[in-house]
Amino acid sequence: METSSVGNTNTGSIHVLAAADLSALLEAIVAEGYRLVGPRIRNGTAVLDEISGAAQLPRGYRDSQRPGEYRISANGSGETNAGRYFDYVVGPTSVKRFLYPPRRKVLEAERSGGQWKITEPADDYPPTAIVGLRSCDLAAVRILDRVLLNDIYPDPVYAARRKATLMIGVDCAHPSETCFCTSMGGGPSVESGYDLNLTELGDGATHRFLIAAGSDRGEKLMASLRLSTATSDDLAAGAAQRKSAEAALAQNPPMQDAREVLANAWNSTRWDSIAQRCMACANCTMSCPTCFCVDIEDETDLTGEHADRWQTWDSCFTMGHSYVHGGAVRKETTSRYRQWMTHKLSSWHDQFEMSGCTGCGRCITWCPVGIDIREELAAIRTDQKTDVPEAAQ
Amino acid sequence: MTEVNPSAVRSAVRSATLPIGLPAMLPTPMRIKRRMRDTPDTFTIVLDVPQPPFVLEAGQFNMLYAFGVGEVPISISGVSKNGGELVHTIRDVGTVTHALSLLRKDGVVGVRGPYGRGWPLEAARGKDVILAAGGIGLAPLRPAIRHVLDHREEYGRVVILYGARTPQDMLYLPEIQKWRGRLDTKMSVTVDRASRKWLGNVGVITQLVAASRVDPDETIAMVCGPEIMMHYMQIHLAKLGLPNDQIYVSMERNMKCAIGRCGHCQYGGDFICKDGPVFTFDEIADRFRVRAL
Ligand SMILES: Cc1cc2nc3c(=O)[nH]c(=O)nc-3n(C[C@H](O)[C@H](O)[C@H](O)COP(=O)(O)OP(=O)(O)OC[C@H]3O[C@@H](n4cnc5c(N)ncnc54)[C@H](O)[C@@H]3O)c2cc1C
Ligand code: SF4
Ligand code: FES
Repeated sequence: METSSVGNTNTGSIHVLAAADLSALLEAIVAEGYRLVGPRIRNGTAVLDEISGAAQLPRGYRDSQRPGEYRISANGSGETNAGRYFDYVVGPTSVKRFLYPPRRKVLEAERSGGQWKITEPADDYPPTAIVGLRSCDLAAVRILDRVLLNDIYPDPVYAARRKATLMIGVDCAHPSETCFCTSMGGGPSVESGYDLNLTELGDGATHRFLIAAGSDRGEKLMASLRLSTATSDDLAAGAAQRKSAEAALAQNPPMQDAREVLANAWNSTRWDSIAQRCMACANCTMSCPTCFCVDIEDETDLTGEHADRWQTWDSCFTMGHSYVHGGAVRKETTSRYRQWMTHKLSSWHDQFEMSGCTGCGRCITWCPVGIDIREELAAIRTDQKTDVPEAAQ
Repeated sequence: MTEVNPSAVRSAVRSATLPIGLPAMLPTPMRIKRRMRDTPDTFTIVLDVPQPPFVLEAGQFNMLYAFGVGEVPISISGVSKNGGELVHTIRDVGTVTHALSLLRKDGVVGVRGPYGRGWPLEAARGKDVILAAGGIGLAPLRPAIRHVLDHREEYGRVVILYGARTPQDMLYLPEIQKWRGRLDTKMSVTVDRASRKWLGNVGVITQLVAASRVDPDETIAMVCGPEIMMHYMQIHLAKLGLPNDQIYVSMERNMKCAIGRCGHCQYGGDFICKDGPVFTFDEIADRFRVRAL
């Protein structure tokens, strides 16, 4: 397996892959030694999980997402193995689950007498190809790279997993109501960070994919496939689909000023109003593809001479997150929601020169009470606007 | 992958050597050479560094690991001249610090570090210096005090202020007495409450500030203590004429990793572990008085 180039943006030429040959692509990936991961239906949601091949993809499914609401179902064709492969958008799991898992043993310690032996357990991540990543997923990878790789102390395990992961992107044809990638400067089509990217076109007899490589690994895979050169009609169909997806996203409120709005919002009264609805359940942070907070905890066996240290996803909505002796700094939901939202949209810029939000909408869909970060930003902005003239007088 | 952004390393490791334990977060076992009890709830351990010298900046901290229990951030309160002994002063307040308190001579502690940005000893050269500590805050400040007193000729007037709860809670008494005995340094001590046998000051530390005869334009203040103490100290130092960018404070938040990954120590746009723990008041003035941040 090559590891030299990871998700480059050098777009090769665009080709056409027959819909029936999607299986051939996935088989070629498996033949290269990759474990295959892609969307599949579990518990009524499309989650990223191991798949055996194209047959396990949620073919013919469409989703509907609204604040606090998620539905996915076969789109009524009635036939199995019919319809398009990627007509739904992101589910509750994200690429983060694979690159930075929810729980990982990071250390083992053995003690006998005064002697300690401390070792880092080997990571058991096989080379993995993730199929069906959306532009917001790849944006999340860029953000995680900045946090975990391109900072003072890079995480070697993340680095290794990142290298061992092949990214197969898919352009979104049908953004959901909770999607706002374009407000965050990305999507709905994949632009960078992929090894291969697919644009699903047509249906039935016209069902086909545009395919492009973004890295040497992608080029190599493409070379093994039966492809035809994309015609101007194919490219036009891709552009038209993109346009209609963009139109669906155009209704989103502007969010470019999020950083400035929130940088001055520590004392906004809106936090209290949100806290009355927010259950501090941490769903937003758990489904967020970029939240990187982790807890680190030791576990000992009965003898007390062997200890395992675990790193698990944490959330700023928990009590322990801000715990210092004597109690939590952020005792109330007001301050916890403020931490989450100001971090995502504002202080992330101070920390990493970019937003922490990709606009994937998971925090909106998976919020049990349907709190919508887009609306809350608008409300905080409005509060400030109504405040300013008074202050200026 | 994106290029490393230079501003990402604004607080990059300034010491010549990388913290021990990286790139994984592996603690290095160190043996306790000596252990002293400072006050009823505070003790000091002297650790034997296996591969000296341990290179650090005054004000930096280590993650100390009590086997099987967990890791906590503890400031380095001293280091021997050859870098072979590392000193930590710890207050027993909870699970991990209590486990550390149970260790005696020849007990083993896991260490990784040093981490963070320390006190501005370079920036303070040639200037007057106020070093103010409240409670256990004297531990992180002691390496700075020792440096200034060891290089006394490099600094202008030196004022050391220390506030403790009671006379029994005062740390490093023999050393404080030496500092008090110096003619080239003004050292004032106060306690919140005391019996009649105490002849020193009683009251809050801020009342000592006004008597510091320093040139406010040419003074650096280094303040370490509970947030409430730093809050009042800033007000009094401002009254003395010190601008916020000459006042340095050391912040505390929950820390699980010390290397900017666990997210726990976030303080607005800064990570206290790597951007701090020492900040100029100027850097954090916008949020210091925001509740529950
Ligand atoms: C930069 C820095 C330097 C410091 N220097 C010193 C020093 O020199 N000397 C010194 O004495 N102290 C110092 N401290 C403070 C010291 O780190 C804390 O006192 C110490 O972490 C307390 O840990 P503990 O396990 O003893 O306490 P605990 O209160 O038991 O906390 C331990 C951990 O358990 C978790 N926890 C405990 N209770 C709860 C709960 N109810 N809910 C959720 N989670 C919980 C928290 O995650 C916490 O991190 C410093 C702190 C910082 C940030
Ligand atoms: S502080 Fe909260 S919002 Fe920020 S990364 Fe951590 S869990 Fe996510
Ligand atoms: S202690 Fe983990 S990010 Fe600072």
